[in-house]
Amino acid sequence: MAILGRRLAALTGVMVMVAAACSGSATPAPTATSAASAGTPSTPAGSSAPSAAAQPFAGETITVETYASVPEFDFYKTLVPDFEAKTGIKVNYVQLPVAGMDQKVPLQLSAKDESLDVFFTGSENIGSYIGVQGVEPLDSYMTDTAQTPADWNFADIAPAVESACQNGGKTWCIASHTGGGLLYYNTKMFADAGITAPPQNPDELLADAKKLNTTDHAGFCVRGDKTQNLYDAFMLWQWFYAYDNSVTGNYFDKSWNFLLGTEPNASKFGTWYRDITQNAGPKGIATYLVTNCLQDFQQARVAMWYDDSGTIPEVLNPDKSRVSADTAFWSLPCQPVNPDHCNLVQPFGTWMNAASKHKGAAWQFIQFVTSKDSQAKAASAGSLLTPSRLSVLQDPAVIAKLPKTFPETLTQILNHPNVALLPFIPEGVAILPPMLTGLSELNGTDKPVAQVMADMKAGVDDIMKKAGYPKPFPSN
Amino acid sequence: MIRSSSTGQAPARRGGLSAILDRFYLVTAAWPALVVMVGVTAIPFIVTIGLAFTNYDLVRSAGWKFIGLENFADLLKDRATPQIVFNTAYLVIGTTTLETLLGLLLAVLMETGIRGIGLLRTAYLLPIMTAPIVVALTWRAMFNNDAGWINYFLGIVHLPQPTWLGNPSLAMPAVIIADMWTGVSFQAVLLLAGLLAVPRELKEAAESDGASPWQVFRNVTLPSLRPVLFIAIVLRFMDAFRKFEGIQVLTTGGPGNASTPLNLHIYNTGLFYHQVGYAAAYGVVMILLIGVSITAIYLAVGRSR
Repeated sequence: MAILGRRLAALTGVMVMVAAACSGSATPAPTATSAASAGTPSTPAGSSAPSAAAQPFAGETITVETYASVPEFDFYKTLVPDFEAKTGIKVNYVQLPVAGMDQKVPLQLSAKDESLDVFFTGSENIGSYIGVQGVEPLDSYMTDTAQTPADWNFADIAPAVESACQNGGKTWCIASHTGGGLLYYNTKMFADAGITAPPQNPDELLADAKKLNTTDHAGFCVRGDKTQNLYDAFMLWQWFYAYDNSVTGNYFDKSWNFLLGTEPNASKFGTWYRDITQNAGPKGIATYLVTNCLQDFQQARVAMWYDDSGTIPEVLNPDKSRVSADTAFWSLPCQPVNPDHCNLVQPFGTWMNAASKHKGAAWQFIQFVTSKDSQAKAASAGSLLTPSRLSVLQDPAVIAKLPKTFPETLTQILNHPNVALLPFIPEGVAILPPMLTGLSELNGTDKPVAQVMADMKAGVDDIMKKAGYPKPFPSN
Repeated sequence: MIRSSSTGQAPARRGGLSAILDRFYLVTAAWPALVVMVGVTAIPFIVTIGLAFTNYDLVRSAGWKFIGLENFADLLKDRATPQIVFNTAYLVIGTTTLETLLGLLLAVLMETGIRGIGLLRTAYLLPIMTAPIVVALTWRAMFNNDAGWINYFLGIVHLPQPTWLGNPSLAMPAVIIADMWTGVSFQAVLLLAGLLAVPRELKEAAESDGASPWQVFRNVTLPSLRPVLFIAIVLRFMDAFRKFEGIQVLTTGGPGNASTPLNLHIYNTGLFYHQVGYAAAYGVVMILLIGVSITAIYLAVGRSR
């Protein structure tokens, strides 16, 4: 009887657990949406509550995903209460580490995850996002005067920047910032080494880097780690390869020949890249992530660093950086091989998930963060150095806030933009493995350069062939 | 009290709910766990095998189709495959061998009654209790060329200070060294349990017959330890196959592919480059390799126990 009792007790326990689990899904807790249907929009107490007509999406909850520890996105988070008060829309603002976000979003889009509404990420993934039908085209929202007031003014977003968000005649994201690649350099180390002006071409950059490479500090840093090396290498190879077209940039010509692996430019770039990384870079550069270069630059352990402008606030913050007073910025002039599109401009796009159940509310949020008012506030706070709106970029008050040497650098970048960080085709991500491995072999091994570049080309050609190329060349 | 069975009578059959519980108790009590196991292990396993025969990728997930053995043919032609298989063997054999040998040595030391051994035993449990990602981050800092302790101490004794993680010939040894910090402790704890179970009388008999300590260890202890040794090797072996976070944090598989084993390659191919079908084919190869290897270990170490 005792055994029977114990068994009954155990079974009862199992039943109770199962029943509890089931009841959780059977009896949903009150949500913001249900509150909205009851006519109680969640407007913060004390604020002037707009009328229900002005808050058509009041009570809805949207989830916004973005990167953690990026000043711009940290700042936008501070604007969320204002947005919630104005619209009655509740925002679940999720910030994730770069690697986690870059992995999570494609999976969410592919899985048609309805829990994601808006996300910020680089526009280089546009090909794969469209390929998986994961993002919502925004044209119909922009042209709907009921949802988009005229003063939001899409035309004010720099066309060269916004073009990275457009594909097949549709707009898939709204550029929130321009994100340009540039050279950070330490003016004190330059002066100590007798270098009087920043370099004008890659040979001068290499010579300066070697001269600045001492026992106290390395001459030059870029992300060398296999997972991130393409980003900075892209900025550097602009001086070696022609820019062919707006869809595939430097990667392919219109006959789908892989330009980056084509000689003699492939070996010229490969040899230069190996020389500067292995002979003027920090030891172990093959494992360097963006944080390693940032920390080395902040701690005066490296004299020059080529990377995105997004980390400028971190470098200029005297609480975090020993070199805040000694930092200047520069963009090398374009070289004859690529005279017009030699600067990485990587817009961060604000995207809407095609599977979102709150598209109207999501669009309200996208408008809000990409509005002139939000960008001007972020720029004035020093959290956004490269706004995407022309009116903000040209605002004297914003320019006055920019660090010395940055405005002219930004002008050079924006006048020679290359937004094709990855080719705007569905295979844009698939061709990465041979390129990342090749770059890693250049900065971390002594495998012959010509062999590395040939393997890179063969790898990319294999992937393209398997994907059915050559195909008709797409129009942007 | 004399029970009915002792009197030769058959036990009385119980009826009703009791009988049903007697008959189906294990199934009834275990079904929640079975459902979870089927849901999170068996089904994904079968799906993975199925995906290996498709061209499914995250970018074109809508238009996938069965492509037979094409992924496996591509895998054989893939320029990266030989190095990745070699790296996997290097990592698995390297970590399993070194960690088992050093773990055994440590276990023998811990078995002795030397002063303070209890504290040492406890200390050796600490690495096992540390989160693998924390271990990896700590080792990444220690391998740092400028600020890492390892090169600092090498410099103090005037030894060369190599670039550990950014050097293709040292990247994998660095990964193995980092793994040994937890792996040796794990093996030591496991093997210590086996050593403590070896009958003392057997050792004493051998000693009284004039056997040296080495002879006692080789001819008495080691044969008695064989069942535990087999389990320890198999566990470590499988753990080495699925080693991921340490490599991802330390080298991300570089430079080039110098420290990329199969599982990291599968992760990158499937989740980073979106080629899920192709990654699944690599996964099937890895499952086969594990199966063949475990069988070989069983034949070599476990069968004659």
